[in-house]
Amino acid sequence: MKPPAYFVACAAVTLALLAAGIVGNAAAPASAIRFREIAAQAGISFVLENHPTPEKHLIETIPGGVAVLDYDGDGRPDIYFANGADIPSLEKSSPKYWNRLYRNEGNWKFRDVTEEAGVAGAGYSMGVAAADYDNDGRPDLFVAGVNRNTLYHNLGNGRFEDVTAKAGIRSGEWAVAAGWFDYDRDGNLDLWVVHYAKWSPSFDRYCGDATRGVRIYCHPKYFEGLASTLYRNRGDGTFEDVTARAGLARYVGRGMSLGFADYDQDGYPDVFVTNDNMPNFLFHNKGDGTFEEVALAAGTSLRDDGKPISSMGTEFKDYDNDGLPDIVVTALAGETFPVFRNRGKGSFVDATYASRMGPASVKHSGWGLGLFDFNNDGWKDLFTANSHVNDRVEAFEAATYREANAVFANEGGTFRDVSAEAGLAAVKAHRGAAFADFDGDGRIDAVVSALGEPAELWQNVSPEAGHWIVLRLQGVKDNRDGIGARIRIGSQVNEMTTTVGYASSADSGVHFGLGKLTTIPKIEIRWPGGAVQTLTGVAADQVLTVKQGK
Amino acid sequence: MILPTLFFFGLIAGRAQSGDLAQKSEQARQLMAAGKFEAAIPIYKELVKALPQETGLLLDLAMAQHMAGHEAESIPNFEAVLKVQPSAVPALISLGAARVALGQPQQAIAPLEKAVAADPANRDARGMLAGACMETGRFEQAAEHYRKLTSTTPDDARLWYGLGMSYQSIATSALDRLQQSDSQSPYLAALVAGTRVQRRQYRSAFFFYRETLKQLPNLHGIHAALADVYRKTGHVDWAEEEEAKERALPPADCRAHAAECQFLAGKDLDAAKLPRTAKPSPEALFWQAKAANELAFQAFFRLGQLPASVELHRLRAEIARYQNQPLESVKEWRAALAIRPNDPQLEQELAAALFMAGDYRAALDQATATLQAARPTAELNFVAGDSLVRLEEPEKGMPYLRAALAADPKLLAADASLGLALSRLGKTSEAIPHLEKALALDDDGSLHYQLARAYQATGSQEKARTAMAAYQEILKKNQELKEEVAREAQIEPPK
Repeated sequence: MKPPAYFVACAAVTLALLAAGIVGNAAAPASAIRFREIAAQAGISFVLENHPTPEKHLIETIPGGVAVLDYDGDGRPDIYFANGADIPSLEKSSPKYWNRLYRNEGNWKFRDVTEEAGVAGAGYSMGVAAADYDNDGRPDLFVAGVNRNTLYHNLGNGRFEDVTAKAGIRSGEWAVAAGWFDYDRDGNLDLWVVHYAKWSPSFDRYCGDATRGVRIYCHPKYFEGLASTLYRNRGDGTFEDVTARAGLARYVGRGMSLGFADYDQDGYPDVFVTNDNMPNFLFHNKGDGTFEEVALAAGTSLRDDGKPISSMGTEFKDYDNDGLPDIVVTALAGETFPVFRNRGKGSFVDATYASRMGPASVKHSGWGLGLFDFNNDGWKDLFTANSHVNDRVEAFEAATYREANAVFANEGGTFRDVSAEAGLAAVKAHRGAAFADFDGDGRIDAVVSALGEPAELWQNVSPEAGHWIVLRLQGVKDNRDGIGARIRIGSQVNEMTTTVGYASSADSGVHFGLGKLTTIPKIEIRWPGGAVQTLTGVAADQVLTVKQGK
Repeated sequence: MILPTLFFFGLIAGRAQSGDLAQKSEQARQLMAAGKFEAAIPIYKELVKALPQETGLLLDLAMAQHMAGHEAESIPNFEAVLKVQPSAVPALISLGAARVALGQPQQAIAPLEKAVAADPANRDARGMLAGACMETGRFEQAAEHYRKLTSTTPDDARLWYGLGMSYQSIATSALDRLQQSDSQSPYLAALVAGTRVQRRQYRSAFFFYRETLKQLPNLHGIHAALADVYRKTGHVDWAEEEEAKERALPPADCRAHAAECQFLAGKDLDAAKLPRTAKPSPEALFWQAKAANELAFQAFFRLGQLPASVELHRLRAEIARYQNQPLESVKEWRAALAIRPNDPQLEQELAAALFMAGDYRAALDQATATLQAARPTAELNFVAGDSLVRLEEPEKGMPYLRAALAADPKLLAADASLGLALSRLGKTSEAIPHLEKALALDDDGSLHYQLARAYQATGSQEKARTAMAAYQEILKKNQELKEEVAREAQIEPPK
């Protein structure tokens, strides 16, 4: 006998409530988040060689991008570190300056495959962006650098080819970060490159206190900013600089990082760019190949006190599970890590204080960050890679240079600093951070770079972590990575992106924490082109590859 | 100095009193000698009531009140004594002291001047008079008194500090007058250049010295100053060129430029005096400022030669603050407090220095500790409140900010901070009046931005648009100024 419609409807409501119930048991204390640092035993010996000089060239304090990507398609995320170079030549004059690729061999073992992969790089590298720009199923790599960018095409045989010139990618300005997205929804990933400022090794202004002989990195105000560059992917392996055509050339900032999300849900991905000591930019994608800069009107250019801060990295994700992507930014001690909550209709509100991130972060300086559900309770927590920018800051103000990383547990839309109990004790000049589930246990791990010191590999050992799922999208009509796809599970919404935090990249699928849920009633995927695909009754605790249309 | 006089007055009164009154008089005298001034007051009141003609008793009562801190009550009694005995030096001094204690330095000057005229060797009276002159802007008079005091008491750090500060104030005052009378004067440019050197802003100093030389190529000292800037910025060759130019300058025409000659001859005291004209010339003001600065330097140098003192640390703290070295300033205030612990004024300075250094937690701790131990001030309440706002605890900061405004309704920084605190707590309607009031402080546009957001939140869209436009206009002007300064502030070779 078929159940009466009433009961079916009730059951549907109950399921929906159950689905909703996987998240948003509002304000319950988060289950413990724990990490264990294992880089050395995992075989990762990378040191970010920034070549510090007595002249305090500003580029020395800015590098540190990290990428996670499965370069060989074996299902295990690998790691790529950007590295510095000799100053003033800006050449990687020694292997110590090589960018490094570490292959994940399983069981927390990594092997340096840089030489065989051909990705040691050139020049003073800053940031990394990984994605499959030619839709051949293999993630490629873009390395942003000081006056030198590199585009590596993944050949699929464990090697990469430098196709920078062939692809039409320019160099000549100081690029810090980059990201892949399909701004025109033509199925090919385009490239946004963030530039910092005009600089050359001959810039030799003395900043600091000459009387005490304390020279420091010059304040950003002494550097003239630059606009971002937008490269449109022609789909034939080449790119076209459409910066001017897209309306971006006149927006000059001191760009540090970027994030992509469709904040107004008009179907087109938008771009948030952090600027150092200048108002941030929010570029609204108008859908006609152009962008309009709307940060001031939208409320994301500045914090509520109206003063620009040293915006570093950013995450453009929904932290409060209302379905709208929000913005979190790292900055320096005293400035907090601002949280801009998306209120809908194109407007944001400064929720730094309301989310409790203000008091939790005010004493920290941060660079890399990641909004991920580290304890799988259905709420995205925040991991930040911490350090000040000025290595002599203690001589001038009440701040510290080297810091431990931090993790803030999201307890139903408010954050609590749980760093002490999380085990993040290592005090370094941290910079970039990338995130992935390196061991396939469903808990998101982290990899962090540090100036002049070994990188860190943080294994997530959170006890009592909830259930989870990772969705690896495979676009067919849309870009193969599915970048820009919007995925909803219950009240949680994530957009597929490989751009993360500061100058870093994480091509590792879309992770959801599911709390106690063992079967997901519904997964809704809105592909970049607009098509909607729904999956029902999906088992938790797996990496699920979802092919568009299947 | 004062208590023996009390005995004197008390004894005179005693001879004319009855036995009971004499006993009371003696009792009061003993209480005064034991420092129990509060206890002596009612006895003296009784005595004065019984013997209203005895001016000495009235003076004793006034002294007891003054020593017990009841300054406002003591003043009419001192004045009554002085009506009968206008030259009573103890009354004159104590009246002056009471006025100073009440924050009325202007009213303190007359009685203290009379005291000093009657007793020129009285260091206390002259010291208080010098201080009162400083507070009322009579810097030349203050300097004159401090100079006399330092000649008789050369080991008193307070006096050298006071002398240095009075000359520094003369210099600053001359610069201000010059700015008001002729803001384009090359003499002003030269003085501004000097302040930039003190702040180690050498590019800016270079620009202003060059501006000076455009119109006054033969002004003594400018090429030498420019050489100093070149040396400090690592251009030794250029420095030598400028020094050669300085040596090659013709001697000053002492008839036409008397102050210049006096200064170059080291006669700073003479050069620091303005000619008696209705409106001193820019040149006169320039040399007054230069000479006064030199005299201030000499006084501070003497201070530095004395053993460590609160005044020396205070000076160093102020220099550090001026040179944007807040941590050094904190260190010096701590050193001052080590010499004079629990001094509320020093503690307030330390709290302010910690605040300027961005150590808001420490500033808060210091401010709240001092607030508990001493008389609350608007500044301390502001430091505590704004520190809490900056530490992202606006709800805790608000009571302090309200207290600051209650004590000083013109403390616009407290309005700005309270406005932000209220906005953060979602009380935007309450925030608006405070933000509006604080707009005069808005040099970077941030207050207009905050106000715009507040107007938006309360639905006043038109006001929001106006405020946001004002914010953008301020940004634009600041950017233009910055570009202009950047263009000008390049250190170039000698011309």
